[in-house]
Amino acid sequence: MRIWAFLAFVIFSVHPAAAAIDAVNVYEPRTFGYFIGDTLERDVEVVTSGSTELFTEALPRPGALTYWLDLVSIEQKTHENNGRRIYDIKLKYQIFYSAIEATDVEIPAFPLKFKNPSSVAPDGTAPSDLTEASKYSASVPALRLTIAPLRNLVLVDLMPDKTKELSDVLRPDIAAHEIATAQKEKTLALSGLSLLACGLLLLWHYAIWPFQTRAGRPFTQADRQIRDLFSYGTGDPSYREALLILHRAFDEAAGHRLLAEDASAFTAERPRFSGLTPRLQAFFESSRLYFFSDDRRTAEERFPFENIKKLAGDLAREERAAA
Amino acid sequence: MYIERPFSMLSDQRRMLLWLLTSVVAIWFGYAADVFFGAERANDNIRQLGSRHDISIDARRATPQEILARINESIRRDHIDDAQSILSTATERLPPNVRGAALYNIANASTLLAGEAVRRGDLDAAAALINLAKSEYRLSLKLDPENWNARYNIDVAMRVVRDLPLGDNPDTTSPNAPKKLWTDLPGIPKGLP
Repeated sequence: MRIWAFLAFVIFSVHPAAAAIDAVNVYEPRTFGYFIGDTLERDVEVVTSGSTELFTEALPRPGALTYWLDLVSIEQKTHENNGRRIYDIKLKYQIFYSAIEATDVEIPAFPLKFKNPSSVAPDGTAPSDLTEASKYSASVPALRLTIAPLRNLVLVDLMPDKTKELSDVLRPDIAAHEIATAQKEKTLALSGLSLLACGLLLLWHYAIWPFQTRAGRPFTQADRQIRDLFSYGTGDPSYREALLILHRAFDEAAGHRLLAEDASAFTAERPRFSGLTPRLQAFFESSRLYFFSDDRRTAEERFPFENIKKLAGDLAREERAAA
Repeated sequence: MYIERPFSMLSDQRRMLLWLLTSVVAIWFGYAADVFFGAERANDNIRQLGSRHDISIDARRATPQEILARINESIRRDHIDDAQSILSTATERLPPNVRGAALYNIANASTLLAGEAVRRGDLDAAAALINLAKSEYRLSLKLDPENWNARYNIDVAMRVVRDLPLGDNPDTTSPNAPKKLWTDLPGIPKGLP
């Protein structure tokens, strides 16, 4: 045996970069204090170099390994580091051994198969001949575990003189429980209120039923806009804008495009505006001057911005008073 | 020059925004209503099944707890086959713990039936039922290892019928080899007179 170990050393030193199984490290969990149904994880790290590769298809597959042991899952990851290939294998077992007293059981060893394995084993032992060398594979060693009993078996009484029924020994079934609805109810209420709020916002936007009066106030809006406009100054662009705003308000109030000729008809139809008739006519005249005669200065002199503002304010007041 | 009013400029975008918000909230409301009333319906079914009414449910659409309640009711009526077929229909929709619970309940029923069979002296039937129960307990424990009742009951079930492995016992080579701790099942004539 010793001579083979020496030979292994020689081979390693002569061909340091040759293909080889460099290491098989097994990180074991604790080996005691297990009950039936417990799970345990073993991490196996296999390091190879050169053309040697772990034959991952030959790893054990999940399922029952023995009558008392299941392999629940096996995960395998590969990464390269400095020309070495490192395989991380996670094995998860579940124990189904029904112990009567503390009992030692053994998770069986399993071989690791390699493609192009070297002639040297990781633990330094070399194979006895070349044909065996080509077949050589490392292995994950067995693991001895101590399993503890789950219950006092003196109670087991399926004997002929038994006093207990099996149904008394067995633990009870799991009952279905109802789904908690408090949170769902809260969410429903919250979403309902939000939907209501959205609906109200939409109604407000389109000025339908509860906000109907809002639409019937074109002069109030015009007044507000002209007041805003006043802060921009009373120059020509503002003046033009103010005229347009008031025109639009008249159009909206009348329900059709209102021209200077229609002003008297408009006030006749709406007696509450009749007190403003002369100023309305003045407004329409100067507007006509402004837009159609290109005589802007005269228009501004005859019916200045302040007058428009005042007229809009009076119209809005009358409008609100009527509503 | 046209001086734009921020208010009127935003009017169009405001309309879009409002409609967008409303449709999102409407979808949310519909979803919340569906979730809430679905849960209420499921709870109604669970209550009825719990009070021993044999109502049928759609295993493809029911909630996990509804399915568990239905399986429990089938077990209570000794219709283990029905329970198993409901479980297999719904199996991929159930979360692991509910599936584990259903398997555990079915395994308990199998174990009780095996106990009956032992009492009758029908040991073949008992062994078959116990093997079924054990595989169900094992699957249940794999799905939910924290179910200590299942651990307890598989331990009980393993002793209802004597069941030692034939040949794949690794203990035969270990230092503390089998001690023949398990006594034979009572009442069976054994060996020659």
